[in-house]
Amino acid sequence: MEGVTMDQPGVAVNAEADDSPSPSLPRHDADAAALNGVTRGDFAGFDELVDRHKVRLFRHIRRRIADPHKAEDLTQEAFLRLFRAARESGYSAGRARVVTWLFTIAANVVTDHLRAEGVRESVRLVREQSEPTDPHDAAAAREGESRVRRLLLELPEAQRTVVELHVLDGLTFADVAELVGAPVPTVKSRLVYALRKLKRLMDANDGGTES
Amino acid sequence: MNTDRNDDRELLELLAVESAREEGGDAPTDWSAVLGELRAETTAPSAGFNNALRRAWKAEATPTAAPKPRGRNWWRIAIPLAAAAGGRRSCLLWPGGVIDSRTGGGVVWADVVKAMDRVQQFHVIIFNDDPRRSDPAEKLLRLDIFYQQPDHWRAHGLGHVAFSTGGKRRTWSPKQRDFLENVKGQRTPDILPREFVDAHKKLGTLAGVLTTMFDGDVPKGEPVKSDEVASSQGIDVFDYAANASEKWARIWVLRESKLPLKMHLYYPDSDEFMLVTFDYSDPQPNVFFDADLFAAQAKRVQSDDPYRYYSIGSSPVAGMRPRAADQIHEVEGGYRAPKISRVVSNELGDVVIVTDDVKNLTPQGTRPHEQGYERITDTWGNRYLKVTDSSVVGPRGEHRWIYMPMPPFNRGTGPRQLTMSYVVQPRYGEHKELATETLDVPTTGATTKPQDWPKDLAAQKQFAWNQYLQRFGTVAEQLVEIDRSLAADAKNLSALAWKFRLLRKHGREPQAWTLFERDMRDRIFGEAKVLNDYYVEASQYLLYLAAINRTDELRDRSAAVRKILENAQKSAKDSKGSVKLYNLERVEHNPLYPATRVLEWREAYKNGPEIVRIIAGRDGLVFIELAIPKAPEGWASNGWDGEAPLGWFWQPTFGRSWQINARMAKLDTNRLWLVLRGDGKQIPISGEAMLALDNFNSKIVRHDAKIAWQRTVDVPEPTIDDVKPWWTKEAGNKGWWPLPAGNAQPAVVAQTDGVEQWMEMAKTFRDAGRYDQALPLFEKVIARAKGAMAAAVHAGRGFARRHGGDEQATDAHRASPLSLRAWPAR
Repeated sequence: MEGVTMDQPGVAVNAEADDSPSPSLPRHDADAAALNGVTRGDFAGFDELVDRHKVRLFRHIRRRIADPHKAEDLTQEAFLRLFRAARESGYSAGRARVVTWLFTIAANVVTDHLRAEGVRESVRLVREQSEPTDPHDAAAAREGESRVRRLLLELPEAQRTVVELHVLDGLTFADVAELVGAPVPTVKSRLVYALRKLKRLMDANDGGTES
Repeated sequence: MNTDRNDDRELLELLAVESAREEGGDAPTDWSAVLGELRAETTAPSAGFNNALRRAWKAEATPTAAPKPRGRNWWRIAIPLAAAAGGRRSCLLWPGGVIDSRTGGGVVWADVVKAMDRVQQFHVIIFNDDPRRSDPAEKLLRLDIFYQQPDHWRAHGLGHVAFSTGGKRRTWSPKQRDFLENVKGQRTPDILPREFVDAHKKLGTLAGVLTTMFDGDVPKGEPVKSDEVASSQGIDVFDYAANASEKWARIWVLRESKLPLKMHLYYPDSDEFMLVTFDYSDPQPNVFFDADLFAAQAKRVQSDDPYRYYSIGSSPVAGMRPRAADQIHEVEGGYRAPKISRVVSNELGDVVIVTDDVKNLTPQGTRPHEQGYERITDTWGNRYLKVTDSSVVGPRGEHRWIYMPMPPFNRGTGPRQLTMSYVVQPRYGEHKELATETLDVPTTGATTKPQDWPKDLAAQKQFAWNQYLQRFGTVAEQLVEIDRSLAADAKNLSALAWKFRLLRKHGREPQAWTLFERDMRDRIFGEAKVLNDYYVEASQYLLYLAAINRTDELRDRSAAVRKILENAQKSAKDSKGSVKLYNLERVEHNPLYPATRVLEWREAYKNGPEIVRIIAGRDGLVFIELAIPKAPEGWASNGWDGEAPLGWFWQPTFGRSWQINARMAKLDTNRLWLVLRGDGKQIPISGEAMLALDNFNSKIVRHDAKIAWQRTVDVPEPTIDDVKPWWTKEAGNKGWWPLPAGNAQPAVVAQTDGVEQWMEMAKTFRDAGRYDQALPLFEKVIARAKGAMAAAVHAGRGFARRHGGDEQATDAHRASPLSLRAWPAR
């Protein structure tokens, strides 16, 4: 994943997103306000900020790290690095949005971890290993997830990345473009190619023939 | 889960449009279901995630809980510089100086300060190892700071060069090719911080450095001497710390000169470490500290290598330390021929020459294009051909060169003596003969050691001989060798491919393709490993199918090959492949990749580039902005401007009455800016989109897959007075403007007598079948001085490759894309 271009202006998002923290603030402004507060020791927006990103960030990391406990540790580490970086250099509205900054940091955290573990591949998609509480649901979920993992592995890395970031992690096209260092139209075309291929693979997997 | 997308509407609309285009009358795809299945993930962090994170951050953020994190202030390292200035306030910081615990002539700190105060110049080299950094490139850093009285500073580090003189600080960026202070929105790395220079000026270096190093709270403690071992060597050691568990410094001082030699800074809490060495024997001329002179020279350097910039202003010839590869090269005496230690021979006349292993590098720091022994002959009348050469890993650092006599081997009488020259080609076409050697060849077996001869010597010799014949052999010689191989094994694919290439090279297209389809095609396309070996021939076949419009076959073959390529690339990524498919794993410079996409690219790029705007000036110049078509999806290249991969580039031409006066490719926005000078109310624009080149070896009939486009645009009414200042402003003082503005219009297209023009005209004549006109031009090209040829090649106009002077072949692989770039107006 490419690094974030720090000099790019922030990308506006829809202020009326369903789970925006405040009706008066677009989400990225809310993120910025919360982050600035956290770095000053004001924890009022802490939970809101963390809740907004922790699940997708955890899943994003989880796709590369097999151990769920380690994935959670790394998710925490990504947040801590974000807080540290924001405290040292401050958050600027003219630079990357908090979410893209966080995902960039997460990529570095994962890379550092894999390097420390001696893993050569930069990206590893891994199978679910934890045991959900309900065995029936767990089996179904595992089957579905492992199939998705397997299908995603069939994609070229550039295409897989945009599928993960946009479809699975819920980032906007603009954010994905910033993260992968490609123009928005390229991101869109990669996504279309990727989804078409995934569809064919799913059909083939269901008993059809891959065209 | 939270999402920044409002919903999937935009994506679904995008997919619907694409699906409608793809599926035609088929039932529309239910993309919502696809997306739903992809989002089957159910995992989430544990319930206590927020609390744990909050606790961790609170512990870190509370000042009493943990030491305050430090920013990377480079000049924390600058405590040694403190001694340089001494300063009137140093007595406040070290009121008692250093306590000399020994009797006798030990150094006190005041002596060091005083000694440094007399030093006219110094150079400190700082290494910093910071384990907190996540980027490996930043974990270990080097910084050089040069000082010259009274107030001249220069620093090298983080790929930048900084200057400070008279309170004015400037930092040069090789990437920006300018001082960063002149570039809006650029962050300046703190390699020579303003605070440091200001503090040095106002307070003296020592006070400023100590205040910063100890976060404004300079400890009252005094440095203490320690390290009895160093003391016995005439070196005194000073330790200095406010809180030794947080950070402390150790400084080594030479007792005789009272000058510091090195310094360590330790940060026990983070394991960070810094080493500073002092050098007083590296004086630099005044120009070294002159930022303006530096900038003038730096703008001429065509490289991003920071070391090329670090060397500007200093010269090793005057006895100073070389910094860049070119200076090191000069000081070390340039290239060296190896020393021969042994010669070994066998019954067949083959020879092994064992030498030391020279590590020649060019002034640019790269390996030479070629180096080795040439023109090897012996007193028995044999000429020798290189079979292989290899470095032998081991303490002796040997290099083994194996040569075979060209068949048939002449057995003479008397002692056999070899004569040969060692030649280095720093770059293509530039020969430097370093030494001529005459050697006695010992009798067979004498001086032989185990492993002198490779086990597969016969196979290696056969390969070398085949390669030689393919390059320099006559057609008859090649056919004899091919027939010999096929007589031994009629299915010898290597020999068949050789025959196929020979037929194509000599224009026997029908015979070539008959041979390919009868004896080679199914074997090559049927197995990935074979395809890997004959990927060039396979790509040529796909282009042949495109050229003769066997579209259905092309589509099927392309799809099959793409599948193999995808699998090969995936296996390479996953490291699963048991068989290495090196040629198929590559995307760039793999002719199969574009050859399998001819049909779709032909459709996608048939309309040529979009003309975004056209503006005319009253000085007769016309500005045109073209939208550069993007490189095809999946192509790992910007697809433009000299970095175009095989099979993909665009270059417009504008007829003979218009000439390109200025040019700039804006790769970030996919734009090409041109300024034309010429005559007329209309500008004809044409170009070719090269989808895939039928290159790799010259051939009379080529099947390049390309699209030609043409259009004519009207020159609008002038709206700008003078185009050059307008362009300079718009282009941010970048771009290419070689011709002086204000030249009389219309311009006449320059037709020099350069080799490029001759070659181009010759090829034009040849392609038109006018060989009588082409031949004299080719002869003129061949007769051109070797140096000029090499220069042309390295200026990006390469087209010719010499093979030992025996044959001159057109290197279409290099020629076509680059040569178009070099001839903007044709």
